Amino acid sequence: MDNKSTKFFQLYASVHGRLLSYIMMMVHNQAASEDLLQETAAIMWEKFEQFQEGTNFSAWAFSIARNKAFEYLRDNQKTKKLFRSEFYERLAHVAEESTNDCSLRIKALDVCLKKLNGNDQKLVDLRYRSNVPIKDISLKTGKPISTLYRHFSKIMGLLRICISRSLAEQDI
Amino acid sequence: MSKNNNHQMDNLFLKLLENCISDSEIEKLDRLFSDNAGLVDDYCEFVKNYTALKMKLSDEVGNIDGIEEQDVIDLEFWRDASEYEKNAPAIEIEKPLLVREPIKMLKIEKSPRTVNKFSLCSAMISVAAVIILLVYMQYIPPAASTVAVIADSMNAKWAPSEFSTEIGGRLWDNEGIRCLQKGMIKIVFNYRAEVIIEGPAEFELESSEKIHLYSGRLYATVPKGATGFIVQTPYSTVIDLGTEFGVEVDIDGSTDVHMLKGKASLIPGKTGNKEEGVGLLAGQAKSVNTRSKVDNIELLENRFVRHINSQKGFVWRGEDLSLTDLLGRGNGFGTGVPVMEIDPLTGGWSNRNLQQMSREGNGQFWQVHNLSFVDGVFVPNGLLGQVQIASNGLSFDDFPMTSNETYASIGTDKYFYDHGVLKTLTMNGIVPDSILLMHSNCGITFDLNELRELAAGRAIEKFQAKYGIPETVFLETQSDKIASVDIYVLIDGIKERVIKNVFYRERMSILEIDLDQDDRFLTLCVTDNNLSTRYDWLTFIDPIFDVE
Repeated sequence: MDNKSTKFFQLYASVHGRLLSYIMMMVHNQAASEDLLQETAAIMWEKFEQFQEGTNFSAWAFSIARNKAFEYLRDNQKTKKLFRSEFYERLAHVAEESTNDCSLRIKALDVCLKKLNGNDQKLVDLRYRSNVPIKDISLKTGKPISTLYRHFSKIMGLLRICISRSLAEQDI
Repeated sequence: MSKNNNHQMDNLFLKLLENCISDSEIEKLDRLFSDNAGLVDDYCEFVKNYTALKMKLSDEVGNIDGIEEQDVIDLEFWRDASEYEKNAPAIEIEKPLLVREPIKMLKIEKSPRTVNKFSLCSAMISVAAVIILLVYMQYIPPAASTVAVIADSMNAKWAPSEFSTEIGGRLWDNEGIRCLQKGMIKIVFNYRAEVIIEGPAEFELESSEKIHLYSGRLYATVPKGATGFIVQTPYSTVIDLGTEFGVEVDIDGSTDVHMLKGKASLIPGKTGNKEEGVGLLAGQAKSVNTRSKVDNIELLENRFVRHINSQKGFVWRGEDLSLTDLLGRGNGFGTGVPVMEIDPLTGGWSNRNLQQMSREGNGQFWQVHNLSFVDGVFVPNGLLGQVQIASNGLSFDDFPMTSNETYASIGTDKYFYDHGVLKTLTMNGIVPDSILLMHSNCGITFDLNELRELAAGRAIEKFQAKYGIPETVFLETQSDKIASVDIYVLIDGIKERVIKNVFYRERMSILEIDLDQDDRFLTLCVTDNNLSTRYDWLTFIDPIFDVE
């Protein structure tokens, strides 16, 4: 790999997860977030010559991602019900400041997932590892989608408590 | 915030992120966000956990075919679910693991399940861990890691042959060069990139993010969010930026890269060289020779196998599905019989030449049992009111009144008899490659679900054909206006397109019908528009279904 590529992908790998979280917070949609992350990465690669070594790569990356997210929100405001604009203005700053613990969070998740009971682990596995749509899980279990969402919310609640405790104990 | 409120907010956040939230729930969230500034922090926290969960699990190898029997949740579990929900146990937290951080990181590196890119990144930036790792590796050879699994294979044979080609078989990063003698194999990397390799090929899996192709052909599909997948060849490196591309390496090491979607960076030269990469955009193709010289070449869209499905025997190189070939009981890519006909009065299929005989319609819908994707055929006549157009009872009540007479079968034969003379069907002086002939007053309905099955689940995006009345069907002494038809195109019984007054001697026109993935029945129907079927040889030329 050439120097530019090596440098770029090293830096990109350090912000990849945080960027995805950030875009997801802004556009609330997994598929759109992945699209926007891809576009953000492409713009970063194209403009990498302009990035000055020694300056804040993360801030540079987030500014590109923020523009992409706002562009998406503008393009979709006619077809998709959105929150009022003040929410996004506020979110843009809160989200950017609060996405600095991605790899530690994943590490904490590793422990927390094992603490879920067997059935919850199976559900999480089906939904997020095997990407089985919620409606298919509903068909298979005979449970309404709304019940499943309530149950997944409960699981997310348990994980939230576990992760925040774990991060706190690591002084994050 | 109370536990119940937390639960309610988590439920709303989850539904928002999974696109399953109602307008009223969005309004509710909007109000709550507006009234309670702290809720934005809760939302950010939720998204961080949700994204981390998805990144962690999707970085690991999952089931390829969705729900499997062993995954079925115990139904007993649901009986206690509500009680469990009320009394959710507190989760104990283990002592922080950071105390043993260097050793722990070392173990993660060794683990066969280590696929998490971010853990690796953390390890790399930890100087202590790297030093220990280097010292460790001097004395103990690195353990192998699973970097990919075999997702499918067709007629694949390794050399030596003891390697497995079974679906689900794991591939490791220290196996050296693998030689695929023949057939095709689909590999899914832990990094989520999918690669189809066509034998003969020699390659090496260097990591969950990198494959080295020494010779042969591969096609890589890299999902969004997995940017940075690398294909190394003897004289170049392709770094993906979220794409689909094909790479072909000749035995001398020269490399062709064909970019079908997205973007990538192509770096000429051997591994570790300092040359700058060149951008490669969708629709471009470049060649790198043994002196690392880069040239533009013609993009070959159908050169690489992009999709295989061994259960269906389906191999797709990006071609459209030929309707004519499918009607000839082929796979859509040229394996069917060249001549076939379906009788609109019985639904019978045969591979003989067209029947030509005036017959009266019987007002019935006839299922075609010989072709799964053809639901059935019928003779339209608006005078009868509702006309059944599909086997599930679907009907259409807006066909015009017709003579109720049909003259020929629906077929693909380019030769026909006109007053005892064998003629070749030509349009604008050219004999078309493939046709679907529909003399007036006949209709055919395609079952798009069955068609998707034939295409191994690929999306069918469009039906497309040129159409017109061929010049060779007409006697010069007759009036041009005698040969005239109307075309009706219906989707699930709803009028999608009506083309009135298609006359002889008009230029060919193009028919394009966009199809959604929820569409089930596509109906093509040709009616006489003057209560006469004379010379109404409406012909669809090169009819295809566009596969995504």
